[in-house]
Amino acid sequence: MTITIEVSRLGLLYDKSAKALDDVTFRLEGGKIYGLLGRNGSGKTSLLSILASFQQQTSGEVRIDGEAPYENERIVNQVCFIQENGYLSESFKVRDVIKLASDCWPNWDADYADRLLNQFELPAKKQIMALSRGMKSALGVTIGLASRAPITIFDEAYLGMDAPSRYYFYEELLKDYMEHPRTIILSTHLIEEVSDLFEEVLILDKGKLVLQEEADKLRSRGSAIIGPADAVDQFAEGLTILSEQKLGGTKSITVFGELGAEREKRATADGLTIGPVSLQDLFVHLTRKGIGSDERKHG
Amino acid sequence: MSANMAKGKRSPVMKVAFHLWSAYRHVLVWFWVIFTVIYFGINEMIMRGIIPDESIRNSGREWDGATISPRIFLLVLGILLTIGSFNSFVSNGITRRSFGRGGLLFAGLLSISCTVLHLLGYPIEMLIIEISGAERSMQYPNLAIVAITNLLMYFGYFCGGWLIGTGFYRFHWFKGLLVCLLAVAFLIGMETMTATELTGSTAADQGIILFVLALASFLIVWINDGFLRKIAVKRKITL
Amino acid sequence: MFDDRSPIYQQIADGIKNDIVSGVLGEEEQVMSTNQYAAFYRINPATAAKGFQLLTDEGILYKKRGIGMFVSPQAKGMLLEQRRARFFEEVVDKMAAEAKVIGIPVMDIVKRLEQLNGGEEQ
Repeated sequence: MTITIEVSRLGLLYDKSAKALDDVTFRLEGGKIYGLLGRNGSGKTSLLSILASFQQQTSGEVRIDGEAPYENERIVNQVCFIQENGYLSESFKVRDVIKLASDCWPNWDADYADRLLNQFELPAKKQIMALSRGMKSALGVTIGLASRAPITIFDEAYLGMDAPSRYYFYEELLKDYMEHPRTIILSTHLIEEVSDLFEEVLILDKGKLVLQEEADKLRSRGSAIIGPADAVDQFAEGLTILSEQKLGGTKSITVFGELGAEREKRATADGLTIGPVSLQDLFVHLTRKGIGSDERKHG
Repeated sequence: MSANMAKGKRSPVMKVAFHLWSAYRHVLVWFWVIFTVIYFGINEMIMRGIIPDESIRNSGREWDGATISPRIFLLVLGILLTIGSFNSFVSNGITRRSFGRGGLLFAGLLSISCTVLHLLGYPIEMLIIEISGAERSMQYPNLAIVAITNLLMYFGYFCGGWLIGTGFYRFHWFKGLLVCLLAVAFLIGMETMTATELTGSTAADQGIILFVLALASFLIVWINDGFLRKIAVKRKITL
Repeated sequence: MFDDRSPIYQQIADGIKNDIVSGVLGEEEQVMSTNQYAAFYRINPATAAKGFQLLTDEGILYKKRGIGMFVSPQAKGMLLEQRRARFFEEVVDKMAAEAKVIGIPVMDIVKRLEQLNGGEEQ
């Protein structure tokens, strides 16, 4: 049982003129892990909070399982949105927060929640305000996982956690996702750590969708080329160059787009080295000032 | 599976009311215990002349008027409702509509509880009077009228507070303040109505008064609900 | 974990191929499921599944419905043949080119290879 998300021409204004989201259109098939990437202020949180009915859009449409989600009883309890340090009542105790969540989420797994609480060493009797940043994040993550909501969204939810806890979260997320397939959206700018979990990637920049693409394909579309400046320039003809650097007679460029076997062969012959570009690097290049706009047509 | 089905039985509205009730019922009971003890304690000291206050001493029955503090108490609880609980419920997949209705149910429960707890004060008052000698009057007032009036006032105060909280949650401070003034105007209106009741009136008059109180409460609730439906979940309230 | 240029699924396929060639995975032996693979390497199961798809397309793995993926009987033979075919192009030719650039005579290379082989025989 998976649920499709359709977003068309979505716009969100804040302060009456500034665009938080600008004409965003995409479709997310159910049952995949999506990575939503974007710099700070790119509109990630705005987009996700509209999906979760935390707020309403200014224009455009959202359809979740074919219906508009805002104030829709049938949809809102299928979308669990977890933010770092999110919306926990400070005066509540951990167990009160868990109790409320367990009553509200239809697929809640109480044993799983207990196991996670144990693993994250969250004391049931402690008040939220007495928890550290990392513990609050861990509590949010626990609710997100145990909710088993058909659409579960983590918006930088694990940032406050230390590395061992984060890795535990990634492992649990993957394991639980495989046992209970559902749509998971991870929004982050710590891409390197989680990028292997993504099946598809969406990149937002300044409120616009830069691209939506399968993670593997995206990775294979970026290459770093190093070699003699002339040869590199010749090689790069017709390719989208994301960045270039020069050191003496050596030039290194990052290109975006399929190279093809032909070109790769030529590169070896010309004494060029072709290297991989990580998703993180691709993301940095694609969202750097002014570059993103040229790439919007892809995906 | 059975656990899921058991959970499914309670509607979202009931979930909201239930969770609010279990979060606040202790506060409610403690408030009334402490309030009653302090109230009768002070009253008794006045009666025995430990605290000199002739006007109160001569008027005799006091418990009728012992509803100001509970009203303020409910007003404060009301103010905290949206500010303290809206985020929790909506982020757990509850609609604003269900939050609004669950909140109303909670308001009703609180008002009924306070009305009952207030009525329980009468026999206590009688008992104290009996123990301390029978010079003071001992007749019960019309408890039905007292109960209905108090019920509506409690409900109005709680919902008035709720409206104030919602206003400050949703709007910036200036609009929030306007909403606050509106709520206060309603409450002052309601207070004025009950004050005329004290001067003595016919059954028809009392019916009109109760109707107006109910109408005022309804308007407060209606405005509050309208505001609630469009609220965006906020991390911090910008005052 | 995976930072080679080829996509992760390619690397997974290569890893399984290596295991078959070296004998870690025998013929008709069951391969870990995509989910086990995904959990082990902390990657998306769809990515792991793509690697498996690659191998079934090449006839190296085959699927037993409801049970899982198995190594084909002819897998090792096929892989050895492929590697032998590529050996000269990918290993020897490159070595020869490098030797030329840095000025090592072919005879020196041959001598070295004979030495290595001799060492192995003892």
